[in-house]
Amino acid sequence: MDKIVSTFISVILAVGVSTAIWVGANLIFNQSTRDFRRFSALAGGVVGLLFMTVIDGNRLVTGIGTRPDAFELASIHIFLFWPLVGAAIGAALGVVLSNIDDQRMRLIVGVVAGVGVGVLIGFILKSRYQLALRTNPLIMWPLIGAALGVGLSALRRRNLLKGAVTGLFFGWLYGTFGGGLQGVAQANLGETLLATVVAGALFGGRLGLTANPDVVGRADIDQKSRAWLFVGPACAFYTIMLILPAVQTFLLSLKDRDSVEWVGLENYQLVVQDPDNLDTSRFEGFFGSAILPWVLFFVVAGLLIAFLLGRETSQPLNFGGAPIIPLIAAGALLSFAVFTHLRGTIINNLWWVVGVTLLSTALGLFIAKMADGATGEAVAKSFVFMPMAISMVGASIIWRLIMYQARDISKDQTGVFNAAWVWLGEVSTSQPGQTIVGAIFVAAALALAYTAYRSVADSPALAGLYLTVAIVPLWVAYRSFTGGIGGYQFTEGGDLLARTSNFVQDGPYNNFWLMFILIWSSTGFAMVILSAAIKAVPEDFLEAARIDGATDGQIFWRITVPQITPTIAVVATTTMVNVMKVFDIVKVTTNGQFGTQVLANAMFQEAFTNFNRGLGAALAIVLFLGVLPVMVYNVYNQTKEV
Amino acid sequence: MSFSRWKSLLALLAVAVLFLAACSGDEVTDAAETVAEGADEVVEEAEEAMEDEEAMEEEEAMEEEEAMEEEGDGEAMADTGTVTITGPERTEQDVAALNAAFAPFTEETGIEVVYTGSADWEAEINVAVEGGTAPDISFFPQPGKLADFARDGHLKALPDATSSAASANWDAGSWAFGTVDGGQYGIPAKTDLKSLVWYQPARFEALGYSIPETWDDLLALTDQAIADGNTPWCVGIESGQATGWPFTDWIEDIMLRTAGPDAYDQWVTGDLDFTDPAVVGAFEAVGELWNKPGAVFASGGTIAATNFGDNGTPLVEGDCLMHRQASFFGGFLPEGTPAADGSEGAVDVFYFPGNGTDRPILVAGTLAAAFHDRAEIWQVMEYIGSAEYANTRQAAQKEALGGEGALTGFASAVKGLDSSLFEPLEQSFVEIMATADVARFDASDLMPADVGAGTFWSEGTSFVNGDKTAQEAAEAIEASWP
Repeated sequence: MDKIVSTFISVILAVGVSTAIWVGANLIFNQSTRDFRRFSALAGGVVGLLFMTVIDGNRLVTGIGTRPDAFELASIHIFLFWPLVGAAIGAALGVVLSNIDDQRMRLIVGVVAGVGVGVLIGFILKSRYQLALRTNPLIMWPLIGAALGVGLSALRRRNLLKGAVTGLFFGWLYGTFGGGLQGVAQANLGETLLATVVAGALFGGRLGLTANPDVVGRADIDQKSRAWLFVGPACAFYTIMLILPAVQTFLLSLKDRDSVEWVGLENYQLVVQDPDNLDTSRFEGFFGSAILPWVLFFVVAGLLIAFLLGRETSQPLNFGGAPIIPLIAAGALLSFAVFTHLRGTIINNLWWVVGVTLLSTALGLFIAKMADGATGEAVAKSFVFMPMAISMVGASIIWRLIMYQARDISKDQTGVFNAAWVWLGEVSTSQPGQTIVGAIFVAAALALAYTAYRSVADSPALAGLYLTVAIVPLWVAYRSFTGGIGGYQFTEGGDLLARTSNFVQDGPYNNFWLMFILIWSSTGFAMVILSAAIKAVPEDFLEAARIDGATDGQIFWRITVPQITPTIAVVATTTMVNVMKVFDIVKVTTNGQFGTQVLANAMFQEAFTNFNRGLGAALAIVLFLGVLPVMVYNVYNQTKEV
Repeated sequence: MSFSRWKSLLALLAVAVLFLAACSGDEVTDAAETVAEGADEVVEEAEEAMEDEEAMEEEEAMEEEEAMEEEGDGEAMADTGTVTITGPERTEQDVAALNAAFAPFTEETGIEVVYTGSADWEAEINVAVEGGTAPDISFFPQPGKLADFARDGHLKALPDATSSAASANWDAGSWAFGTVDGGQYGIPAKTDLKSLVWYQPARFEALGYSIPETWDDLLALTDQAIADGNTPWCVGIESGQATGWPFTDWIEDIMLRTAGPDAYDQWVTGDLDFTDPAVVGAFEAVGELWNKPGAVFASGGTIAATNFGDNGTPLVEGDCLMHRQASFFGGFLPEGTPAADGSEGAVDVFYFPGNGTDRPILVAGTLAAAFHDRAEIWQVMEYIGSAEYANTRQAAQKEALGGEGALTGFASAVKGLDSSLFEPLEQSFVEIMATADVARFDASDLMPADVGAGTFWSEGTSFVNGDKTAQEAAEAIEASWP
């Protein structure tokens, strides 16, 4: 409870302070149009305060007393002294400069004040931060800075002198304090003073070069400052939390495992060359895959249906509608055939992307369409959506222990899938089970065939689709009659034995069983979004189509689907990004063993377990590059819609 | 702003507070800890890197001290009187026993000890050390990791006083596991004896089998049992994220017996390649034994799918005759299993035999090492190295399991153990450890993490699963050696 209260107080403090800062900054900039003198004083004061707070807070300068270990109110003057001095100097300079309009006078005042500040800082700087100057950087960096400043000013069509002085200032700072020669034996007060005084003079001179803005200039300050005040916090947040870490990760990926030596692209070579990441040696097996005949069958069926549909609409081939289903099946099976013969982390990741995105979007669309307007729609959709509420870690454990678990064949199976599979094996290899199972599938095939016969007059294409689907139960029935289906095997003595399937351990299909967990939980997301989109299709379109005599299928494929295509794209890309970085499922179920490694888990393992920072960072960048195009497409799409 | 807006703002604030409070909670409770399978089931709830406030405060204190330009000797910093410890042991039972073991120490010295166990200790300690939030002390199950941290200057060597006081409690062999490049960094905190085979004496007697004295005897017994229609072995190497480690234990035990301790040491340091015939031969020997038809009962379907902790019940119920596993396996036997008391159904262990004359043993365990240099930390370290610590922990763990007759799974090679706290079976572990000619630490814990906690496990699993041959697996492991 104490924890909650104290955290509550800190949160309120943090929110309060940031609000105060933001409002205060706005108030200061208000003054720029009202009373420029006051604005200069306030702005100078704040800059001085911040500057001294930073160098005092980082313990760079000698304090006026011993700082206690923890903050105490009694010693607050120690903490506040230098910041207040800085504020006073800044405010004074602001007031003075805003009162002088003569350019030469301004320059003199600025330089003098800058020298003063330089002397002060040089003296109060702690001895360990004193410098030993080196000639080369002292000449080189200010020159580079000046050149950069002039170049930028030229590009921006600004005063070249001002740019040069700004560049000189930063170059000088980097050439002196950036060199890392503080604290060495030869460091001394004199050279330090030189460094701070020149820096102060340059800064003061740069201030003196500006003129007091006229009314237009003040309005300009007012306007631009507002923009920065609003965007600034977000920019700062993104820079600190996102951009800098990304740059840092990229740099790490170019170094060795301990981030000491630069190794160029070696880590990326490792990623690509490691057979665990990309193994194409087994691809020859692809052409002998048992899946290929099925792919061929579905492609031919799809083309045939497209041809039939084309005849209805007087086109050579029409892919809108019924042909899509066998073609999706062919695509999914083809991807399986490819991915099971190309192995490795990168391939696994691609397989996840294709498999999960395709299946969860298609299933989501299917369920959304089927549930649309049906009785019990809300209940049905709630059930499909519910897995979304379970954490991935929880879902993975549930599926592994309750669904996929196998036991020794001499024991009863406890995993749901294996229990059902073995039961099916026992039933379908003995009478009367075999006949019953076979009969059920034959009946299913017959029912589909009958539906095809009924619709052949209306639409031969639809009939073709039903017949294509009917092949599947027919094939199962055939298998059942010629030996049985399910998990069973015979011993040499002819005894029936259970044959379990290790869903999680047996490659390469274990990848699919892991994907299935994600499909199970992300279908709900796809369904909800797509269902909303389907309901948003204007009713008059549908009515018009109905009046023109379109069938339900035609309305769905010709009206609804084109209308919701942008939504489908959003669902697919969002799922894709989520799948690309899949981590928890793999981590919990196999930790990448049994050929199920994915990029995110490999990255975690390399970076945090093996402590190979270079390779871990390289994997992170590869993952980032993989997600990037999808993200760009997503953002582009969203901005386009607005 | 209307009232409802204020309410939603308040709600938002409250949520933020709860979130922050949860993130910085003192006790990190692992929500997904309720796992049905065994203790080493590694489940990772996206647990943030250890929020070690003490260490952070101290870090700040150090900075301040530096700023005051006192050439500090480390004594003057904020003395909170609290020592934080992290480690991989995290089951409720283990954590309770650890806390109980520190209770008398706290009472005596006033030094508060806070232990945090983590499922993902290996990754988290890296993050904590790198992020400057290292705990005061950590238990290392891997001396290899300890040595890495010591060489990188993250660990503090024991002061002479602590070192000499604690080393008196240990034999030279165990003590040496904490030595890195001549400096003493670790203190043994727990010892597991790995070269054990669990069996039921009553069943052996009924079947007329005798305890094998050599590796050849062991193979003969295996064949004999298969011929008699009994399944000789229970094997399972599944262990969540660490799947494969029981396989590496088998390899190590065989390496120690066939190649000898010297070759074993070279193997650990990488001087003897994984592709060496000795190593590949050990792989093949294990593969041959496990793949004999009828030799293995795998309660999870296949060896690679059977959790290592799921072998207790089959062994007791008679699905198999023998199970090779470390001394901590006592904690995985079904509750109420009698141990080495001569009763029907009691389990006992015999030494995992080799063909040689010496009796080498494979051990593992945890070592404590300190990341910071404070007087109270060294006091805690000295206590961890004492027999009192081991005795208190054993007593607490036993108490939690129902007292008399319970196997705790805890063992220690420390001198001066109170044997009355240990069951006869557990005493026999201590006995075997005390009389062994040669003791070697678990090789996979000494190898670089890439191998020892990576490819040795995963490629070993591929070999067991039949996805790779011994040669292929060995080559893949060798290639991953950093």
